[in-house]
Amino acid sequence: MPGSLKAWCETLRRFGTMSLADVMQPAIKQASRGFAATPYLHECIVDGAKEMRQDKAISAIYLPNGTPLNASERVVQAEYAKTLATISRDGEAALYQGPLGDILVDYMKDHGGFVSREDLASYRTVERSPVRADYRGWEILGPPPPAASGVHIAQMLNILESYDIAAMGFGNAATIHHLAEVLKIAFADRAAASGDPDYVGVPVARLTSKAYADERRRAIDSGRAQQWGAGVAQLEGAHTTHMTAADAMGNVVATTQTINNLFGVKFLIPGLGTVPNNYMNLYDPRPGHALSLAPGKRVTTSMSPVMALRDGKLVYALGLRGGKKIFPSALQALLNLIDHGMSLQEAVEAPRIWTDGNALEVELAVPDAVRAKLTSMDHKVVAVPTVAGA
Amino acid sequence: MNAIQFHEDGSLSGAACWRADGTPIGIAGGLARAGVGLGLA
Repeated sequence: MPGSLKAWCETLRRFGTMSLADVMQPAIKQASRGFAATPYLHECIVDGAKEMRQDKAISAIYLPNGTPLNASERVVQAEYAKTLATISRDGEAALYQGPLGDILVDYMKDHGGFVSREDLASYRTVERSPVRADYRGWEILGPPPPAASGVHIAQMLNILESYDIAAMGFGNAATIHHLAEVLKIAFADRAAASGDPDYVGVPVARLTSKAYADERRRAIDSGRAQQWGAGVAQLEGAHTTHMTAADAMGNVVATTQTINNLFGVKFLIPGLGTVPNNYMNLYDPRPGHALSLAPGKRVTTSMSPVMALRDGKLVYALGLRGGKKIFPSALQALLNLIDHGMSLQEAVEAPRIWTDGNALEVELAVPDAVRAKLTSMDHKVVAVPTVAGA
Repeated sequence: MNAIQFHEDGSLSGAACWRADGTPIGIAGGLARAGVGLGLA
């Protein structure tokens, strides 16, 4: 269900100072006049070309004459510009109760999809309180379930709080080892207990409690990597978008959005010019699990827009893209700022690691000697250019 | 990754990661006074 539009419009009405038409004007301009493709976009088109070639509408934009758009060539989305203009004039009702919704429903009906007019008309946003963690006197706010990220960032911070991370230092084997073990614990719990709280009992209080952190920490071996048990395999894409913004009136937004994989389902709906998401593959196809499919159920996510407060005042807001690598990377940025005393720029750029219980991915900027030491501690180290895309 | 820091004097710092594609819109890597005006080219 395309829910983001409704959330954005409601947020603008509640907190914004500009009209929807004014807010959308830059996007309409970009879509109608086009923008220059970046080298990265060119690479993305090449990666998705095989599947996109099966759809004429999306190929016409990204694969003109059958070949991927090159960097600096213009990406023009005339049909999408008309869709945006309709929304800017008529609001979100154009999709949820109007002609844009009719186009979507008819397309779905003709192609075996399941989105009905009733689904669109009855869609409601849900406002939830953030998950709060207390870490060394800082208050960390993160997204609550169905998102997995806020819960597990809180859990990992609680476990790490008893270690003197600052004294241990940044980027050495001991620090990375403890980070890796904590990540594996979080992913093991995430596999078992992530989901829509309206459908499954996500044990937020237990997962974010200091007592549970103590229990998990006691099982960590400081000199040896352990298997913490991987659960349900996830198929989350890494092609999300994050934006952090603040204005002079004190409004702060940290927002992450996604159509999951690059170009989502890799087809374009004629008449709308939009690409649907392929987020359904995050559900567990087996019944009886936390992420099993059910009507009306909202999917989990690793999106991690986070805010850090000191003495009740907002000090940091951040986020990034990267699928299952998002919340571990957000955690490391927080540690960089709070424990390692890095500047903001240093904190977002510093080398990262990632593991979900299998290989330990370590960015190439981490020295060979550190990677060798981690290997000697039974980590299956894999050197990678980047952990999380941005 | 992109991030904003809110300083006690009311100024803001913005940061964007080298891993990102393209150029962040607005402030990045420097200080801007609260209330500074930004525009899209």
